[in-house]
Amino acid sequence: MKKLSVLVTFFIILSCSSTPAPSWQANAHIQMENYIETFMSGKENFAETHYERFYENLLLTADPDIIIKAPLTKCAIEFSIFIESNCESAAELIPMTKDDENRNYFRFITSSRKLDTMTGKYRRVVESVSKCDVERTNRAISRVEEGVSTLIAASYAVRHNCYNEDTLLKALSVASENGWIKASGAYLEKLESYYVSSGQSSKADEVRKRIELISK
Amino acid sequence: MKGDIKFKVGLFLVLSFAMIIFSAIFVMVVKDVFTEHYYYNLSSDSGDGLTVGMSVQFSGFQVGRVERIELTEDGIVMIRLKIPSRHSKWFRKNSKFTLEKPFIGSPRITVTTPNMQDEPLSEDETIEIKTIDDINEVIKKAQPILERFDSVAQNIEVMTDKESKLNKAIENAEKIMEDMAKSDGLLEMLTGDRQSAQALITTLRALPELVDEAKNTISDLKVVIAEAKEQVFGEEGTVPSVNALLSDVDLKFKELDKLIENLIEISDDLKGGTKDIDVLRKEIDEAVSSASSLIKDIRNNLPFEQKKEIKLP
Repeated sequence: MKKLSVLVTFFIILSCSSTPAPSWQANAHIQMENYIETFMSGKENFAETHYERFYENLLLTADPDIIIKAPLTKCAIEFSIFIESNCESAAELIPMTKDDENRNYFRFITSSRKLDTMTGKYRRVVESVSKCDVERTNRAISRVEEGVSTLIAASYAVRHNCYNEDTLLKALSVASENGWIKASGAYLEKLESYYVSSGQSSKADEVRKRIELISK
Repeated sequence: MKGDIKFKVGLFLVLSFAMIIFSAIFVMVVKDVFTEHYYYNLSSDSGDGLTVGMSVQFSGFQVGRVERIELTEDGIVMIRLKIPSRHSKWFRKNSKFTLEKPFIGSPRITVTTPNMQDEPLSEDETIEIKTIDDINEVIKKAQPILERFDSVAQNIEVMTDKESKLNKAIENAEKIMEDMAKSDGLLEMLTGDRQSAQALITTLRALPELVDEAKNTISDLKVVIAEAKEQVFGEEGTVPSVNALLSDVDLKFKELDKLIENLIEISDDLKGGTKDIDVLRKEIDEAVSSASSLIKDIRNNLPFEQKKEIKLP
């Protein structure tokens, strides 16, 4: 009886422990994080290596819905700091995917037209941009939790011309807090253009000085 | 016959009833219902981690429980301990009370009595309780280590960057070697003998692979850093051993820096350079294997998060 109870306890403990993530997943996860971090910090050489390893790890699954996450991520990161890209590598994989989330995400970062709806964390941003309610858009952007996602959301609003100073300042503060100099540079340039076009020359000068500071 | 059955049923009922009564009394005795109790009062600035029914321990044995927790008008938390009389002897005037929040397990109040000959503790006295928070202590200890992880990772990154001294040195040295390899006589003349010239070429060719390996290690180190930041350090003893390993790795990187400086001067003094490259290779090997074993050790000791889903940003 005692042995039996020990065995039962042992199996209960075993069943409670979570299984470790497969190595491809753990590796891909960290390569993705490294890619984002190094790219945003302006270390392109490292970013490229991390991206390659991220892609290679996803490739091990042979599942297009998983593999596509690498090019989609790359495309989204470039999208977040206004680098123009046609997302070719993701586009090639799209016909093979079955997951609606991937398809919607692809449309979100490539479509030149405003979307009406979107699932997930960008839903509110997409809805408010579709009506071009700038205040609501800014609130929706602030509610997006992760730093990169905030930049993606802000970029979406800017690209669809539904933004103001606060949108750019929010994105700039996120980039700055994270030490993402490349993203900071991109948003400073947008901010400078915004101030110039709205006739706020003194603010534009200040921003220009910041751009010069980080360009040295 | 009928009377016999009635007697047996009656006896069974009486015995069952007696058994129930006996069991109830037994449980009450075990639970100290009939025991005289002593009540001691403790005070604390915070009620964090305190719960009614919490165990009070002396030398690892439970000697009582927390009966009541109250917040006074001036914001002090009063804790009332209920101690069976047989355990009251452990409570002396010089006894110290500590609220322990262990890394694993439930919080508890521990009593330590340095002098058992001291006067018994009065029930009217109020003693201040101290808190030992293992979790916060571990986090505090872990913080500098995590910072050092970052520094080590950055160190390797700098070393293995395309624009780094190491890569430039390798590039330059390889070029020289390639040129010289075309002429055995010249190579022999410069290095002293044919064997060392070949060893030098082999070593130089192997260096880019080592750089790649170092890059992989950085990446793995970053995994560990990211994971360690998310999770709290594990068992006791992990922190010092990790620290020792890190010191080792850090030291090696510092030595490597010096060697790289020497390597840059290879074109000026090829003979001396040959010697340095051999040492450099060994050092890189050692540093990489130290870092790898460090990662392995930490992975084995840390309670990492198990699932790492790949989510789109």
